[in-house]
Amino acid sequence: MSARDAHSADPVARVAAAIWRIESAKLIAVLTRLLRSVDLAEELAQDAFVEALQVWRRNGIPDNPGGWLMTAGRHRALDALRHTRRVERKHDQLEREQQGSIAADFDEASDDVIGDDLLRLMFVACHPVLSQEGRVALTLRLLGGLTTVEIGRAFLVSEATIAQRITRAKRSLAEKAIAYELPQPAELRARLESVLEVIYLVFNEGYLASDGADWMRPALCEDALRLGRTLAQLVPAESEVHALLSLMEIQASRARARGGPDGQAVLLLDQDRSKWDTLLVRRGLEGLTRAESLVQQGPGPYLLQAAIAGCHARARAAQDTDWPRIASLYAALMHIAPSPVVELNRAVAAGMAFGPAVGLAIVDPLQDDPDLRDYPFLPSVRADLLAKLGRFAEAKTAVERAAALTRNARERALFLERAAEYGRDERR
Amino acid sequence: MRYMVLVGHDEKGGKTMSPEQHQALFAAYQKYEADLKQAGVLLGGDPLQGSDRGVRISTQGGKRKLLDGPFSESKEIIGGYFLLEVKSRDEAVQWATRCPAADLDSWSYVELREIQEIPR
Repeated sequence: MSARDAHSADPVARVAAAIWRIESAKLIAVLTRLLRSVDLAEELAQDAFVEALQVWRRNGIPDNPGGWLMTAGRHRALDALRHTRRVERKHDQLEREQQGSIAADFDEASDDVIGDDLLRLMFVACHPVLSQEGRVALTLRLLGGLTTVEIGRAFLVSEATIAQRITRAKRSLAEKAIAYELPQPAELRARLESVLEVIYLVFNEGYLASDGADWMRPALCEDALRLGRTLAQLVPAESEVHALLSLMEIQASRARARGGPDGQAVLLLDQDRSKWDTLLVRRGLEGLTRAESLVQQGPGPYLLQAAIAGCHARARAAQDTDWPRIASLYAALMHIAPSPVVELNRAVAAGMAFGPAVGLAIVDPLQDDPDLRDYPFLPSVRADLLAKLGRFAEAKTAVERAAALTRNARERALFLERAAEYGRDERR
Repeated sequence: MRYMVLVGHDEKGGKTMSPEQHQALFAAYQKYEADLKQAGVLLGGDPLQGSDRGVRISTQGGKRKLLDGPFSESKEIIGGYFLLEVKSRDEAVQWATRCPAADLDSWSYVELREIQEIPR
C-alpha cells in the first residue's frame, strides 16, 4: 500500500486504496487475535492486500471485497499458524486437534467479535508502555489505515522517522510481551485514558498546527474524529469517550470560522458564528448530553472541557456566552486536572464574568509558573485584561512578549496588530 | 468530504415482500448502520415515511400548488438517507455499494451524491 494509490490513475489501485481504508483495521484486528502478534498480523494483512490487487486486476473487483480480503487474510494466518505448530509439535494426532481448534477460532468471527478485536487493537496500539509518539504513529497506521508517508506528511516529519517509531513501538510490544487482551475492569479506566489521550493528541496536532504557517491540518482532525466515533461505538457506556467526541466535534464545527480572509486566525469571540458547522454543533451537543447522562463518579476532564465548548456553542452571539458557568467549569477542571493552562483559562472566564480585575488577580501569580514561561497566551491574556483596565502601556509590553514567544507566523501577526492598537489607545 | 447515500425505491416493490424478507432487509440495514458507525464515518441518517404522508410544493403559472402524497406517478421515491464523512470519492462509492438497497432487485437503488460545501 502506498499513499500514491489513493490518487492513482489506475482505477483498481484507487478503489483498492479505499477498500484498504475501510477494511484494514478490522483485518489487522482479527489477524492479531489469531496470531497474537501485531507485527505479523499487519504483514499478513498487507500480503493479503497485495494478492487482492493482483487477482482483482485480473478478474475485476468482487461484490464483497471486504469479505474477500478477510478470507484471504485468514488463509494466510491459518498457514502461518499451521507452520509454527508443525514445527513445535510433530505428532499427527495433536496436529489434527490443533487444526480443529484453529478452525473454531476462525468460525466465531461474528460482528461482536470483530468489535472486540478492534477495541483490543486500540488498547494495544495505545498501550502506556509505548512512547507517546509511538502510540500516535501505531494508532494511525493500524486503526486509521494511514500509510507511513501520510502520517509523516501530517506530522511534518520524514517517512523514515515514522517507520522507525512504528518499528520501535512494535518491538516494545513484543519485548514486553504485552497481552493482546481487553484490560481488566480495574484498569479499564486508566487504559481508556491512554486511548483518549492519543486521539485528542492527533486532533490537536491537526487543529492547532503550532509549527509553520498552516493554521490547521484538517486531515488529522478528521482522522481523530473518525477514531473517536469508532471508540464511541465500541465502548458506548463510557462518559469520557462520548465527551471527547463531543469536544472534538464542537471544536471542529468552528473550522470554517477560524481563518480570516488573508489566512489569519480569528479568535473564538470574534468568529462569525453563522460559519459554524451546525451539523457538528448539533452532534457535539447531543454527545455532551449523552456523556453527562453516563457520569458515574463525578464528571471527567473531557466532559468538563466539552461542557465549556458547549457553553460557547450554545451562545448565538459572543455576548450571550454564559461566562459564570464557564468560570465554574474551569474551577471544577482545576480540581480534578489542575494545570496552569486551565488556570489561565479560568482567569479569562472569570475576567469576562466578574470583571478584568478579577481575571488579572488569577493571571498575575501564574507569571512565576515555569511551565508557562514560554507560553504566548499568558502574556496575551494579561495584555487583554490590562487593556480593559486602561493600562495600555503594560498591555502593549505584554502582547509584544506574546508575539516574541509564538512559533506560528499568523498568530504573531495577530499579536503585533494588537500591540499597535494598544499603542494608539495609550496616546489617545 | 461529505456524501449523501440516498436510498431510492419503487414504493410498490416493498409491498410484494414476505414478512421474512422484510425482516431480513431490516436486519441488513441494522448491520449496515452498525458497520458505518464502527468505521466512524456516519454523521446521520434516517428512514423516511412513505410518500402517502408527504406533500409536494411548487409554483405553477404563478400559483402555489400543494400535492398530497402518495406520489403514484413517480416510479422512484426517496425512502431514506445516510450522511457520511469520508476521505475520498472512492471510499464513498465503496460504502454506497454496501447499502442493502443496492442488493435488492430492480425496484430499489442507491444514489450517491456529494454534499456541496457552500463557503459562507
